[in-house]
Amino acid sequence: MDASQQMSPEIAVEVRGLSVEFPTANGPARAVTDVSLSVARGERLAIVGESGSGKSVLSLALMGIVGGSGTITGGEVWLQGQDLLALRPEQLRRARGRDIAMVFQDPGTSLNPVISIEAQIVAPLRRHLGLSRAAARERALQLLAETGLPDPARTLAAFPHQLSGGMRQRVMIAMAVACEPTVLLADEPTTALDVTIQAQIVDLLSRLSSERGSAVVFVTHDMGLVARFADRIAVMYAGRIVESGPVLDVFAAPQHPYTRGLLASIPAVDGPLPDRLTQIDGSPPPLTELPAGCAFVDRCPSALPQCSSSQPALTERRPGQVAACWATATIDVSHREAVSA
Amino acid sequence: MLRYAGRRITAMIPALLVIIVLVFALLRMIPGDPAVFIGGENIGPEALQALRERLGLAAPLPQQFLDYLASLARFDLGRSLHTQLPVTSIIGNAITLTATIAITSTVLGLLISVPLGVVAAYSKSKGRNRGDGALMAVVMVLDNVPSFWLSLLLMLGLSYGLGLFPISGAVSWSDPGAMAARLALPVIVLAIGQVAALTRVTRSAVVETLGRDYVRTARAMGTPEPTILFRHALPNAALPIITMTGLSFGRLLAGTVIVEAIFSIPGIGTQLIQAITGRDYPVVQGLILVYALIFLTINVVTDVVYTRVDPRVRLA
Ligand SMILES: Nc1ncnc2c1ncn2[C@@H]1O[C@H](COP(=O)(O)OP(=O)(O)OP(=O)(O)O)[C@@H](O)[C@H]1O
Ligand SMILES: [Mg+2]
Repeated sequence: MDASQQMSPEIAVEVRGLSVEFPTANGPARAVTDVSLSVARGERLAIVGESGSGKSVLSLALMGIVGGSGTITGGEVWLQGQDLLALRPEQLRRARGRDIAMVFQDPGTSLNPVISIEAQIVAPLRRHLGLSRAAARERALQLLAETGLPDPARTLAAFPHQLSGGMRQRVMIAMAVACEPTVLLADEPTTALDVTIQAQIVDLLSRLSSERGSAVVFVTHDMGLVARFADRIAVMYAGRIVESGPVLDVFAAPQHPYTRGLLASIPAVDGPLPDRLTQIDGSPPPLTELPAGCAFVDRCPSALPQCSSSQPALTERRPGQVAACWATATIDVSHREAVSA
Repeated sequence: MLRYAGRRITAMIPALLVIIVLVFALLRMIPGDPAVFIGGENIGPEALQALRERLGLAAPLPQQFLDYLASLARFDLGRSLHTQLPVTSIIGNAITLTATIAITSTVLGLLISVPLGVVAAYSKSKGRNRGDGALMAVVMVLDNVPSFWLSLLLMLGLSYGLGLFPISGAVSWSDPGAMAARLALPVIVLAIGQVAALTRVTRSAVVETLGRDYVRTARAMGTPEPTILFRHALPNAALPIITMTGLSFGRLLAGTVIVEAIFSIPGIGTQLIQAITGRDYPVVQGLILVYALIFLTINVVTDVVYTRVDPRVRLA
């Protein structure tokens, strides 16, 4: 992102106070609680956090989709001047796939087994862009080639079960980027792929964001990918964003003890990065029994008395960097430098 | 595909042989002598013996069985003891009627059940349990209506009451319109008999596929709901629906026996009842063989249909 863009970022999507609950036998499981974020056009936001922290549920909710019997209990998702979550079903349907699209976490089950790849990619192109059958097919071939699939024509004629996991993942990606959506959500888009293909996909997503101005929100466990690709990072814990900010700032001076834990094994910002997040001792509280205060308190090395009783708000620590933590809220910049060293 | 069918048909031969033996033996165990039926109660012993010889019933049973097998091997099912007509032509005429009724009512049954099941599944998936509940209640009522009772009800209402469909009279293909009217009621009765099972299986299969990841993908790509239901969810639910259709077709064949009798339609069901009553051994044997073939073929047809709707299924 260049300086002029940073001065006047045109917001692609803005989320306000989004919450998602799933009913369970033990009461509602609050998978996502009061999440707000905004992503500018052309910006790339990485969402990280340990398994079960709500990354997938959050990205689905951005499209107004909730799995099972869950519900979006509150919040707004502003996209192109309208709140997606307040749209009538027909309008929402029109926005999905065209203005906001998603690469799903599990490519093995996310493609329809009885419909050919061609039909699956071509249908949204025809529906949203009004392309003719032939033009849509051309575009599909081109998209598959861009994802690095060696034989696009053959892939197009295939059914999902005839493709490998990596190929399905790339088909999924081609489908999602087909209409050049304003916002592209990608849930672990490169997990199933080997390193070279991963590089191709990153390249494709980079071009989508820099040339087409799409905002890319991607979920990952790969901190190397975050460092290479993302502009900003948001750290989720037990359904909340506990810290977010420019990648380099957060890596250099994480403000939330959880973020520090995640990054703990990184010796220096310019040193080699580990592939996966490191484990932190303990586990998050069940989503049905979230405490009144900070959900991280039981695992936190710097917990204060007020942490268990009162929920810390996200406060700005540096320009663009916010964190929700009582313990670090008052610590000054010099201390932060010491921590990151 | 042809090789597959060939192999499956070869595999049926042992089952058919067992059926042939069983039917031959069982028929001759039921009390009642065909010659007495034909010659009448007052026929003298000598005339009876002559008649039995003429009908081929005098030879020892093993001899009769071997003769029967030999003619079967020539695809000759013999002649009716009563009318002397070739069994093949009796079956030929009757089976077109029964097949027409059975296939039409299966198609009609599917046309009713599949949309009903899909709509019920959709209501359920949207949490509109009342719509789903109401549909399934109707289906349950239909399931518990005996076909003979429904037949009588429809006869009273539609035929006697409104004069819509003739329930007796000639059954002939020379007037297709009249034929359609004549067959309409039995087709409706048999179709309704299939609705319950088919709707239930459609509903539960579609409820399941609606929860799958690929449906979520379709939704995320902005696919219209009807397309999601009928193009994305339904074809993935096809295997259990096809299986149930096959099973239900078998049950329907049994049902045709009753319904043909009620509406006096000379299909294979009616022929079978007549032949059994008259101890017309060759006709009964031929008909049962045909039923057995149909039942065995349904499985093959079901498997072939699977491959048409689901590219993952391969004939093995
Ligand atoms: N359909 C559902 N029904 C009930 N609970 C659900 C459902 N989907 C998600 N959850 C719950 O919501 C929480 C967050 O799940 P989510 O899939 O968002 O985690 P995640 O951060 O994406 O994890 P991962 O890194 O393993 O993908 C989990 O506790 C999960 O059990
Ligand atoms: Mg996930």
